[in-house]
Amino acid sequence: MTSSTQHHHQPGGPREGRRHTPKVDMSGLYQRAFKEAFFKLDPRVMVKNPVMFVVWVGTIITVLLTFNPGLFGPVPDNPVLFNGLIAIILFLTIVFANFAEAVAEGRGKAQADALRSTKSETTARKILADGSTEEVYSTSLSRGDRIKVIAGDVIPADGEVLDGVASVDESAITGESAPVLKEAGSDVASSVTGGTKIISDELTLQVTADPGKGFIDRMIALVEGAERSKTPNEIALTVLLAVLTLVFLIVIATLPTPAAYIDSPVSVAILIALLVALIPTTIGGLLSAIGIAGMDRVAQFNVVATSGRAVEACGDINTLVLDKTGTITLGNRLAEEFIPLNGHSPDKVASVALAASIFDTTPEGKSIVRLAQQQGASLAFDQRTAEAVDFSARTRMSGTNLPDGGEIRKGAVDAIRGFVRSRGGHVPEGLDHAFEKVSRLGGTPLALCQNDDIYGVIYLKDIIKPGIHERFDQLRRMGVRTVMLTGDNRITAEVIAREAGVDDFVAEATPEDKIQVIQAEQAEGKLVAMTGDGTNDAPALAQANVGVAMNSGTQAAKEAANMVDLDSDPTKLIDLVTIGKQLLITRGALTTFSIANDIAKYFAIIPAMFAAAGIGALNIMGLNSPQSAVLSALIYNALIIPALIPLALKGVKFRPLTANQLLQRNMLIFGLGGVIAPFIAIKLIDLIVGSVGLA
Amino acid sequence: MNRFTLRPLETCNDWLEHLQQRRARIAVGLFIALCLNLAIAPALYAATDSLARGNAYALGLLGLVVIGLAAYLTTVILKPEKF
Repeated sequence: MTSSTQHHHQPGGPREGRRHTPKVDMSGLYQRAFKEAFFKLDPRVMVKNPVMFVVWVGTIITVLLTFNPGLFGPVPDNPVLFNGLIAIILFLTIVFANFAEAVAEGRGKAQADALRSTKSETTARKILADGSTEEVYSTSLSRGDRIKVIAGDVIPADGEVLDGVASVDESAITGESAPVLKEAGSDVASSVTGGTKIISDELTLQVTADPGKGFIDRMIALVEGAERSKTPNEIALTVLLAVLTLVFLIVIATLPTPAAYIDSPVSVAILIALLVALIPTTIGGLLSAIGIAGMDRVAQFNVVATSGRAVEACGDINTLVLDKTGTITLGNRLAEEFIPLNGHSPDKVASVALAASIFDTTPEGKSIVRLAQQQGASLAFDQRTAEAVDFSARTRMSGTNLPDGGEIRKGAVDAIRGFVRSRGGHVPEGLDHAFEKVSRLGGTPLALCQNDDIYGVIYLKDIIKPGIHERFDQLRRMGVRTVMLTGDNRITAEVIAREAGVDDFVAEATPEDKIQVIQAEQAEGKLVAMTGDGTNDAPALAQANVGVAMNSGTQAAKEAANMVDLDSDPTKLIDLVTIGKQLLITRGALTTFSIANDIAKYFAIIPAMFAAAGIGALNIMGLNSPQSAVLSALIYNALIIPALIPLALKGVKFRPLTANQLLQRNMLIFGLGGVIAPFIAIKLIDLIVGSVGLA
Repeated sequence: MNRFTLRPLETCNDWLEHLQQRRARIAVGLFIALCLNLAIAPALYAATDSLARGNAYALGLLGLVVIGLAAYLTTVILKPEKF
């Protein structure tokens, strides 16, 4: 749980500018993809893509018809060239579709290779039962083994810190060069990743993954597509495409009968051309490329998703459950002011605040020390003889036990009120007023006391992240509800919620509240996303439809989540929703475009097929000849696939609009555009085909 | 005296099991298609005047390819996760 005293590791620099440190080598990507496109012509591979498999079978038949035009019956003239051209265009359609998939896969493989370069066979110091160490190969380590790593070592496997404090360079996986402090028993820094490097001190670790099943191994398998299985949306779209293909196959197979009846026989080559033009080859060819590119985009954002399903689910999210600290506000709250009470002077309050925080190493504690020192406060006792009292979620306060037996505490106002009363003191009237004043400013009030006397209130200022209000506005326009969870009191939570622009908040939240909020939202049929880093976040991460664990979090949180953010930046959840929506929009837009294209192809080929039946009026494009019309429609059909590869890989530009607005916009651009564009393109191709004398 | 032996049935069973193996599926499919075509093509040949005997066999096979594709697409619709 991200409590008020914990802070997230916040890497510096703009996120967009960071990528995995091992540079991804994209050279030769297109040459390799081109070669791969031919290997994918293997029928065992082609059969996985129903639309393109039908085109593949059509190609084989047209190749046979090229060599023997009279194979299925007598033909009026010798259409070897025409059949040959159809065969070539169909072949290129398949190669282009394979190429799109190979480019997307190639990008993932390049990323996997870069990650693989961080993995190398290392030796590890395995701790034996008698406490001695033995040097073993990292590949021989298994889950549960204990190992020792010292400065300069590459950490041989994923693990949980059992003992020690050390700085670890995680740039191999996160791209962030600043070292990260790792220590045992901490929710935010107790897990280490194999392949990262320890740069100071030493750690005792318990291995948490068997060989080949570590974090980097999983990441390699995912970006490489080895574990890629179809997402629910992809499956639904595959069914739709197969239904359309089957319907058109039946229509085309029964067409020769009415054609013969009206005395306008159609050749098998033209029937195949019509079938290929009508089935949704564009989306059929680009479907897997869109999915792979979506995973790739998430990986480029330094997020590891356990499945494509998780990425896609991001796009369907209705509710975001967000921690206040680190997500909505900057992780570090800073002391802004000391408000004296009970008639104490500001100087006295500053010196008590200094004494209360001298052992507090959290950013908040350090800022109290800094503010007190700025106000001229100094310690009136020897620090070495005093005793630190750590913060705990139960007591909700921390402080110092003085050498003379005095007890100085700072903490939640209620907790300090109870402490003072337990020592026989009384609570000043001004405490509630100061509490309310700080809360109304959106700050966190910490009461300060020494023994039975309340000295004042420390105003910890919460700084709302710049631009977060606009992000929430965008999410609201997209129909995503935001719920803020905070351990703060209700007044502070309300002020922060209003300033940040979240839709709802839960104040004084406990870790259990998180899972309750998620369950309540899910009960209303909503999909919920959340972030978490602690072991006590694990049930909520598992319950949420999209759970994003921070890389700095515990192993339990990472295993429960379906995504891990390598930068440990909770704000990234908002970006993930955008990526998920972009993936769904891209798939929807290209499907719309692909199906809308049929209208123009229909008007190009049907008049050509039944020219003898006197339906010349349908030739609204004024195409040169029946042959030229068929060839132009097929050439357009083939060329549109490579033309749309960049859009499939990059994704349709995302706009924060509601589902209805997006639908209207897509229908206008990709629906209407999909109807008009092929009319123009087919006419142009027809002019070229006619001018070079191909048909 | 036992005049019946199960050996021919066992042999037949072994042979069927062999045919069901993955590697033999395509060959078996082709064989069955050709066998079916032995029934379809002559009917087609008899029904039309303009077709040569070879055309009838080719058209029969084309029809079977179309039926095969329809069966394949139906499988995709019913079990999409396999593709």
